[in-house]
Amino acid sequence: MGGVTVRLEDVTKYYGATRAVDGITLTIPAGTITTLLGPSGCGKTTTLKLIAGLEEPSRGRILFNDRDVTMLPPEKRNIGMVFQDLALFPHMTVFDNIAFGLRIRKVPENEIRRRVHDILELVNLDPNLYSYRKPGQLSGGQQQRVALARALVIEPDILLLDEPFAHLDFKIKQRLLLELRRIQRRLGITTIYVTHDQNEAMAISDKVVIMNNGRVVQEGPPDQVYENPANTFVATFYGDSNLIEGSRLGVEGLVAIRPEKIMLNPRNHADIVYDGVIEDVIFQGPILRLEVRINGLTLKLIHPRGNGFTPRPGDRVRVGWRLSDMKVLRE
Amino acid sequence: MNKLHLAALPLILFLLAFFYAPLAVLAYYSIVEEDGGYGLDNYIELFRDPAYLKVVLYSVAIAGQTTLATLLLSLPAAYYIAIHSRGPEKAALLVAMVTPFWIDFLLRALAIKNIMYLLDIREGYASMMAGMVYDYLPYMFLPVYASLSGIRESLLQAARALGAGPLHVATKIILPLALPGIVAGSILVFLMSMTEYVIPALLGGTQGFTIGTLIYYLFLSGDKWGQGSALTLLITATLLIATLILSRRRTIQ
Repeated sequence: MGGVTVRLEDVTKYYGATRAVDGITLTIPAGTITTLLGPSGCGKTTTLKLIAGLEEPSRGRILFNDRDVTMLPPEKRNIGMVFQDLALFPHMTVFDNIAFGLRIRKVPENEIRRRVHDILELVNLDPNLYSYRKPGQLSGGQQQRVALARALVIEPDILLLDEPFAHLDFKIKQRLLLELRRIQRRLGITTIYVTHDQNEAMAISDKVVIMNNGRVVQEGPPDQVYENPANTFVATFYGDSNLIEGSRLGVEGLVAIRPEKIMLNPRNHADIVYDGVIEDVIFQGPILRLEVRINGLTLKLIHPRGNGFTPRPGDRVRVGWRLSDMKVLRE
Repeated sequence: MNKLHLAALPLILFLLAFFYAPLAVLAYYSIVEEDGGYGLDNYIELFRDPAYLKVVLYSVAIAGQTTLATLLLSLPAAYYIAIHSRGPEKAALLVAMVTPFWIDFLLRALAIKNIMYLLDIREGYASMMAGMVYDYLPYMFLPVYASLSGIRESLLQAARALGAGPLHVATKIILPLALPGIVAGSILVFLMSMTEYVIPALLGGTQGFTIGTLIYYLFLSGDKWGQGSALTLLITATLLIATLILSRRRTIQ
């Protein structure tokens, strides 16, 4: 298992005249979790379906290691896939759902029983309690686990997940994300995770691929992309940024500064300092989100609570940052 | 109970006047014997004369063939429209499927007769089956279509991702999920087509001797009202019991 590198070479997909995926060239390293992140309609789900073989590219090649799978139907690709709506077979029990792929592969019935049992334990569902229930009798989180178990039990080369946690409560989602990462690490399976949620992407990925308008905008480890957004889209979609005209700061182009990089009443760490007035304070538990007006410009910044000074709207403050925290954007 | 049960009264009265009262008259005729006395002679005659059994079996066979033919025609079409077509194409196909049934069925039967004449096919088995299938198609197509349209495309994609080829997808996913519609459509078509009168009478020629035409014959040509009434009641009772058993089994499931 594991060890499969996925490569896309100039992959393009048209639906009629619209280009859903526009010349993507991308490598998904073996054994990692790679996230395709982007707003709805950016082509991330189409890209996933192309990798799965559920859609055929209009142009380009898809390779698993060095094997060209571009024209291979999905049932011949040995993939595990979890769909956005989970797609559990409603007329089958949990056991039969998970056994489906094994029965197609003609695995002996006693081995099927063992493997379904083991995989249910791996996804933290009690086999004795849940094997003979129908999907309709399970909670959202439990259905999620069954869908993951069904995809994993066939020991796929690649695990594909299409916004699997989109409809779950925040807490359950957090827990399942951590569990998914634990299982992925343990199995070492190449995993591609599609989401529009930057927080999920940051939490789970070894690599993020940020997509917009059918193209890859930027890719890299989640923290590096965060520190060095390539353009306005990444700076504002992947985390939040203050965008400032470079001419105000004596540089060319547009400058992005992350809210947490702007210091309130800095001592001597800041290279650039402005006087300003607090316009708004939003309480968010451990942190405060502030909006500070400095000559004709509103800056967003994040301030940790409970270190003596409690900012209030109307307070006169100084804000400042380091030159190295300013990122000049290409577009 | 509240006073709203009065709301059902007009329909009950209507059915009483036009269905249950005539049925009671039939029940009366069925126990009037040839000599004017009362008894079960008419019913006994139905079982003694093998000609009756032959007609019933023939009607069952025709109904079975009608059910099978409508199912075989409906399944692939309903599958395509429900799962693989979208937007304007889907709407156009659905309208095309139901449009013929906005035309009165007697007119459609006559149209089939004329078309068959053009093809130089006279009244007989082929014409009758064409008429039966045409007539009962929507009763099969609509329930099958309804159950298939409940199948999300992702279910089929999930099955394929798990390694299932088209044949496995059809037999393990689509057919089981379409089964309630197939069963409902089959029961409907079978029970209704078994007592069909107009199509065998109009298109069946010498092959059109089914339960429906037999009852007609007993009343209007054969002057055997007693046996006609007995046969009508017997068939009605059989279908009623069959419907009750089938609907009971389906609600238990």
